[in-house]
Amino acid sequence: MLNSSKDNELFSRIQESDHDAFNQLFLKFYKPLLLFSNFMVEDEEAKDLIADLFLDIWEKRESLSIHSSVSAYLHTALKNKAINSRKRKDRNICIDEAELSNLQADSFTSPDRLLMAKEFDKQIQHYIALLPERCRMIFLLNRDNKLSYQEIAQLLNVSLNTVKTQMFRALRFLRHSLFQNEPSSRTPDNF
Amino acid sequence: MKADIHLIITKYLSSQANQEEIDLLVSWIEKSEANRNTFDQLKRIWEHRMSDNRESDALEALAQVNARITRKNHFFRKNHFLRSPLWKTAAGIALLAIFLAGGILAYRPYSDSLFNRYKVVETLPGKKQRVILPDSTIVYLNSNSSIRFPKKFNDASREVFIVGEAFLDVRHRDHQPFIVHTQHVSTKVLGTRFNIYSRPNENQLRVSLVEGKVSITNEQEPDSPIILLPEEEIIIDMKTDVTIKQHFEPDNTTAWTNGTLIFDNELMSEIARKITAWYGVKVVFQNENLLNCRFRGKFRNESLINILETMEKTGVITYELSKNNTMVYLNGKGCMNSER
Repeated sequence: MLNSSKDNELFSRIQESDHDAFNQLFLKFYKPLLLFSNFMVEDEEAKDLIADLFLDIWEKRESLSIHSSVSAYLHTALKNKAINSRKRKDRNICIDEAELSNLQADSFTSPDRLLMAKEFDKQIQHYIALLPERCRMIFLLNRDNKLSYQEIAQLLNVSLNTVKTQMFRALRFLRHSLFQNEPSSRTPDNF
Repeated sequence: MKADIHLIITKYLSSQANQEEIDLLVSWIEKSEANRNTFDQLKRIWEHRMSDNRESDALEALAQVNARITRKNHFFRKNHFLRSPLWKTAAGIALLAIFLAGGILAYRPYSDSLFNRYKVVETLPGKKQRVILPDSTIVYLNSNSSIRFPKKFNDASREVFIVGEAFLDVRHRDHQPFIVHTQHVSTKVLGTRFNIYSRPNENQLRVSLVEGKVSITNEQEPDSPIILLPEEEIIIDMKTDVTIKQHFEPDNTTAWTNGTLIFDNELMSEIARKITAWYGVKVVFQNENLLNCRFRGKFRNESLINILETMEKTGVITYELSKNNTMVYLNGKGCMNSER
C-alpha cells in the first residue's frame, strides 16, 4: 500500500509512546476513516467511533500488534466498532448487488463533453452519489482511502472478484456518464 | 481482461503498480486512441477529490481525543508529583496547545507542498524506463537519463526537463504547448512523437521528429526557431554551434524504445559508446587499430555476451570481460584505416 512503511513507522513510534506520531496518524487517517464510517453510521456517531478507536490505540499501544497494513487495520477496527455500536444504522454494510443494475445515468450529461473544471467537479460528485452504496464504498475506499483491492475484500468480507467487478462497474459508469454522450436511458451494464 | 486493465489502471493511479504492470499499461494505452482516451478519463475521475473541508474538523477532533487522554491521566501515570490537580490542568492546556501546533505542523506535509511540485525519474546505466506524465504523454527514458516534470502541469504550458535520451509520445492539446528543456535548447510541440538526445558530456543535441511538428529554439538565437517536419532531424554541435538538418530513418532512431540495438555501419568508438549506455559497462580498447573498425548489426533484447561474440566472429576483434562484468577489454588485430 502507498506509504505503508511510513504508517508502520508511525505506528511503532506510537507503541513507544511517541505522542507526536499519534497526532500524525490521527490527522492522516481522520478524513478517510470518517468517509468510511459514514457508510455505516451517522456522522456524529462516526466521529465518536473514530475518537474511541484512537483512544483505544493509545491506551493499548504497548500490547497491539498489526498483521496487515496500518490502514487496513484501522478500517477493520473501525468497522468492528460500528458493528458493536447499538446506534448503528439498521443496515448491513454489504448490500445486495441488484441495486447496481437498476442504476440509470440521467440526462445530466452534457453533450459537448467539454466540461469546465468546476462543472466537472460538480458532475463527478453527482455521479459518485448515484452509485449504489456498496459500489460507491468500494470505489472510495480504493480511490480516496487508498486501500488495495485485497484489503477491501478482507475488510468487507467479500471476494477479490467482487471488488474487481464493483470497481470496474463504478469506473465504467462514471466514465461513460461523464465523458460519453450516451442516451440517458441506458443502464451501466449496457455500455 | 477488461476488469483487469481497470485494476492495473487503478493500481497505477494510486501508485501501487509495479514496473511490469506499468509496462503492460503503456502498451495497452498505445494500442489505440480509444484506450488512451479511456485512460485519460479514468485519470480525471481519479484525481477529483470530494470538496469538503474537514481539515479543521480533524484538528478539533484530535484536540478532543488528546483532552480525553490527558483527563485519563495516561501521560502521568507513573509520576505522583504530576498528579496534583492544578498541575494537570495547566499541563493539559499546555499540552493541548502543543498538540494543536504539532498537529498543524504535522498536517502540512500531507497538503500540497511547494517543495513537492516536481517529480524526477532517473535511469541507471543499462536500464530503461517508461514514464507516464500527468497529461498522459508517454516518455521512454533511455539508460543513464533523467526527466523532471511537475506533478501537475499548469494551464498555459507543459514543461519538462530532460537530460540524456528520451522518446516522447506527446498528448495533443491545442492550447497547452509541450516544451522540452534540454541543455541550451528548448523544443516546443503541441502533440507529436519525437526522439531527443542530449547528453551533457557529448556537446551534441539531436532532435528527431517521427510525427507532427516541433520548433526548436537555441538559447544562443532565441529569435530564430528551427521548424522540423516528420522524418527530419536536427543535430546541434554545442561547441562549434554548427547546426545540421537532415533526413533520418525513424525505425533506427527509435529502435531503442523496443529493446533493439542497431549498429549502422558505425565506427567502433560510436559502438563502444552505445554499448556503454545500453549495458552500463566500460569499454577499453587495447589496440588502436580497433578504432578503425566499423560494424553493422541489429540486436533485439540481446545479451552483451551475444553481441560481443557476434563481433568476435568477424575475426578482427576479441573480447574479455572483467570478473565483476563491469569492464569490457577489446583486443585483436583491428582494421586498416579504410577497411570496413
